Amino acid sequence: MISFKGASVRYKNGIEALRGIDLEISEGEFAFIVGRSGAGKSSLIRLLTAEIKPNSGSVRVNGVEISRLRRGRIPHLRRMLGVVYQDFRLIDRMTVFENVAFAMRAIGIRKRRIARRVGYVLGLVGLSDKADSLPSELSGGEQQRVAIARALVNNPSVIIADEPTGNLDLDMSHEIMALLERINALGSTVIVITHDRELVERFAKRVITLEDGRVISDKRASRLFIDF
Amino acid sequence: MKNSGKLGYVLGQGIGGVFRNGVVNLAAVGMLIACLVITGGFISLVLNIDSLIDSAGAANEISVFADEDLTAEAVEELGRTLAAMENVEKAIFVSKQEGLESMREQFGDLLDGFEKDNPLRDKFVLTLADQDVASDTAESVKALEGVAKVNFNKDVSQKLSRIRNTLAASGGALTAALCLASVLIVGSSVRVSAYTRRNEIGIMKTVGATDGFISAPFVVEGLFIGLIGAGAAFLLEWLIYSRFLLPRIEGLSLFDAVAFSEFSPYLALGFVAVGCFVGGLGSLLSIKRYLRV
Ligand SMILES: Nc1ncnc2c1ncn2[C@@H]1O[C@H](COP(=O)(O)OP(=O)(O)OP(=O)(O)O)[C@@H](O)[C@H]1O
Ligand SMILES: [Mg+2]
Repeated sequence: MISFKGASVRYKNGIEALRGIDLEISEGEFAFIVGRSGAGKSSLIRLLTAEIKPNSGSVRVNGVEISRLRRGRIPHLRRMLGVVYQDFRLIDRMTVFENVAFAMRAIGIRKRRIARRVGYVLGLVGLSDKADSLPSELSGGEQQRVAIARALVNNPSVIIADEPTGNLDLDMSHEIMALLERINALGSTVIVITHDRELVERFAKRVITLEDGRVISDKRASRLFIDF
Repeated sequence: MKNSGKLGYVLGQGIGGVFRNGVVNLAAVGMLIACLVITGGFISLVLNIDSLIDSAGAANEISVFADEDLTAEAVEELGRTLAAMENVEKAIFVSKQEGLESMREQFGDLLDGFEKDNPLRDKFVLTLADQDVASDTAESVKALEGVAKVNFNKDVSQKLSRIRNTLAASGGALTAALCLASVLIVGSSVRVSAYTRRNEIGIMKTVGATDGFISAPFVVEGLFIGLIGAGAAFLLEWLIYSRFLLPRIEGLSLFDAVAFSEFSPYLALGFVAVGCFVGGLGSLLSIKRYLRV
């Protein structure tokens, strides 16, 4: 479970990116986080991954208190979270298989287990036949699916996607969202940050709206019109 | 066997890194070799001067002559006092009879007739622990009761010691400076390696790799540069010393030159230690900034 209690973030330049965030996201939930550019969406994610610490308030992930987390324990936290970025962040000279396997090698898992798990996850995202391709040989949607496979491969309890469809056309966006929905159905908590109003309306899920570093609305799964 | 996945990864990436950035690492290895060879050169010179000081023999010793009117007990007492002094390793007693004997061996019949009226004094030969403060020791011996005269080869021993110490000090300083430069150069070569792989490092951080695991390949790379440098420097040192320096020192035929094998094991150990230290430190220092995030 993820919880924010009065969490505030002020960057060194004085900008208050988050002001007293109160929020709970339960295990197995699917939540969109929406809001204008600069509203603080990415800062919220950076809090979860302990890239930044709250200046005040509390942030907890599966019982781990971020504000008091020692540097040496950060890897432990990050293994519970799988993050997917808008720009994919794939390694160009590695094949699809190697890119996904890299996330397992990075935490010291043995080759034999890696081969089995990577094969399974590539199947899940529908890329089994592209395992030996290089990222440059893939479409944008396929590259994003590789990034999702990499985020999934270490079996984190939460998948966080920051603008996963920002660079994709409509069909590909839907494809990616359907994939994230399927991953959610398999038990992972999924948090998706997006600008895409159409996407939010189409996939009726919980929608948390940020503005100026505050939560201004938090609507449970519905097909109502969302204003942001 | 839980670690076999990690070890294979770390070694593979680390050694791969050495060759991936061949040119930069070649510069680092070259710098390290220069540092070690110059250090080794100084060490071999200092060792040879030590050998010269040793074989100068007398330079290492102080002769102390007892007053003629001391009783046998008082002479014995003086011997004990001398042996107990700071910086005195041994005090060997040479009686005036023994002194005369050894002179007669040199000069023969010339000295017949002196037995009854031996003009020599009882003498102690002191072996010193530390040659550098020989003159201080000589001064304090001179001040003792019952000492008639003190002889020691002040000039030679002091000059040699001074040369040796100057060499050792300037060699040490040069070595320290070169080592620092090597740390920086190995550091920047590992930094290039880290820079080319900054995307990988960033991804490793986000998926929860530990800092230790991320840095390990770079440290291995640094250690490898250190080991290659140490090995090459050792070979070069061997060539320079046995082909160039040793024949010249032996050509002087002043003293027993030090053979390479007398100090090579220590040199090898030292080179490996310095190489690993420089390589490890250089890479640790330069990888650090890529670990923030
Ligand atoms: N590292 C930083 N240092 C200083 N200010 C920052 C930093 N990162 C973000 N900010 C500022 O904090 C505020 C919130 O930024 P954040 O990246 O969280 O917004 P966002 O909602 O993700 O926006 P976008 O939709 O454009 O990605 C912005 O005003 C931004 O300029
Ligand atoms: Mg953002």
